[in-house]
Amino acid sequence: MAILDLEHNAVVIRIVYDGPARAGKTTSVRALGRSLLRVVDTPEEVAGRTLFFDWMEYTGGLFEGHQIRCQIVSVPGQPDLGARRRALLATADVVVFVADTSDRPSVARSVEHVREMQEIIRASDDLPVGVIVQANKRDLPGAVPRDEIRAALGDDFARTALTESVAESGVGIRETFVFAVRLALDRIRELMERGELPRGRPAVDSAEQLLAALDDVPVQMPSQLGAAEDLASVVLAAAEPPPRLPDSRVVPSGGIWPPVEGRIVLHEASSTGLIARRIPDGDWLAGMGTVWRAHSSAATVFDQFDGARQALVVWARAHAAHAELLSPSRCVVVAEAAPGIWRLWQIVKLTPPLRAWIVNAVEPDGADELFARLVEAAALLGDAHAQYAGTRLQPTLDTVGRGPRGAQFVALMPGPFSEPAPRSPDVVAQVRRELSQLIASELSAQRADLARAAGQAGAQRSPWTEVVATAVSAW
Amino acid sequence: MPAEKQIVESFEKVAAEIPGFIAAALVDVESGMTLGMKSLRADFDLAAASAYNSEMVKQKHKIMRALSLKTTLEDMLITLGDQIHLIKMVSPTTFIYLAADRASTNLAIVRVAVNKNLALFT
Repeated sequence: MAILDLEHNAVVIRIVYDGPARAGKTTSVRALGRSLLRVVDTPEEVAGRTLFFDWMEYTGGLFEGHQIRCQIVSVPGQPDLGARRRALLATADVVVFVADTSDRPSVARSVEHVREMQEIIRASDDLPVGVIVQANKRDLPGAVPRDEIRAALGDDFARTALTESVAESGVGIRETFVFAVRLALDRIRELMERGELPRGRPAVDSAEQLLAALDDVPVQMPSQLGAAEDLASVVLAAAEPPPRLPDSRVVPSGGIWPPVEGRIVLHEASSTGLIARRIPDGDWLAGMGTVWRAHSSAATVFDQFDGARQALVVWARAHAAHAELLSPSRCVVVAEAAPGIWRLWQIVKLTPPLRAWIVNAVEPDGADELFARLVEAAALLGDAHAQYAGTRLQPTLDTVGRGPRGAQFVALMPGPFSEPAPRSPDVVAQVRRELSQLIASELSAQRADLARAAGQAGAQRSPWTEVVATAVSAW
Repeated sequence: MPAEKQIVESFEKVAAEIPGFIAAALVDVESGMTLGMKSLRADFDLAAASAYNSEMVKQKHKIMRALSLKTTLEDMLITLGDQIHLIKMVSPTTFIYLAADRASTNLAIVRVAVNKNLALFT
């Protein structure tokens, strides 16, 4: 899919992370995101399994005077989603094959998978696509020796680069990525020499556009996925045509809240070219890969404008009642989804939640800064629990951010007709649990440094310092 | 090639030996991508600087080929009004790019500190 985008003076390449389920593709891409200080978008994930892809963009380096814009994509590893995997592999300029090398059976499974991958990329283009085998999970005690991996890969891969990694802690991830860029550039050089490098804007230039493209790819019904029902609803939903999104030019009078600022918010959001897609619970969501989220619940569809308008009033009251707690740049709008069908949409400009703010501190600020952020996040979460008492707002690391006056709710607002989610009475335990999970999933490599930072935070200890210190040691 | 974490730690060591250290990166010549970096100044766009300096290294190699020079490029020293920039080849495929404040240091100190720690980057 490489393309020369002369408008932006960039050569656009796609690096696809492939590999069997649970080999560490998503973990690798997320570790790379932390290293490059970039955000990874994962459109759909069920029980820690990628259903579509992970997406990240990075512009860096130069090639023949053009910037190198990398689209970094990982494929779903489950066999049932093979069609999506093939569709993504067919667009690769280079493949980083993440192999699980923690034991011999895993290596055997990875070898089977890598051969399958080779067949796919051979079939899709006459110009060879570079492949790097990234031997992952090298820190595990039973990890298979490098020579044995080479032998298992066989003669077909004798000249394929083999790198080693521990994706959880980020070891080997950036080197592999830079190596992959080099291989992709070799391919581009060849395409240029042949006069075959296309020019123009990439057909797919965002996670949202890729998602829209993949929605048309059929998948088999799941057989091995734990949360099969969720996947089934994703698959079946693809058949329903997407509703028209709200347009600031045709929103009827009284169809938007807040009346003036709402139109500005809607104008800004719709100018980014939002694409709606169905999500597992039957709702529609738009804005993947942008700073906007537009959401329309399956429960807010009406056959008359008046009905939608009445619902808008209720939603507007709920927003107004919580205005002090919410992040800015929001609106609720009624839009004609199809002739005679009205939908209520909630549109929010995203601001980073506490989780992103903490994770982005991993590099380059070090453990002390990271620990300080964890403590501040714990305090903000504690405040949010107190402020949101009696509301439907659920304070979590993904819904609360840092506002000018402390904690602010940064996520989509729960519907005014929804049941309030049960809330744990023990706020401290709840905050500690969330932080422990975050440390285990995203900050495991920093745990030792965090423990040291916790020990050194003696002079300015607050009750939340203790909570974070316990969360660090509990994991 | 050392891991990213080792590269950052090695640059911390180099930074401690160079007064006026601003930023440094280990850069892939071919792509201009950084393999690891350390910056003390938030306004110094090290990724962009590394990318453009990789072009300079490639151009220098091109010049050497044009002149049929049968030797290797070791380093490139650049003196700006208020900064010193050093490009030190670590291997045929990677180089260190380092920027330091000219008022606080000099080329000799920068060069000695980088050469002394060069093995950490191979």
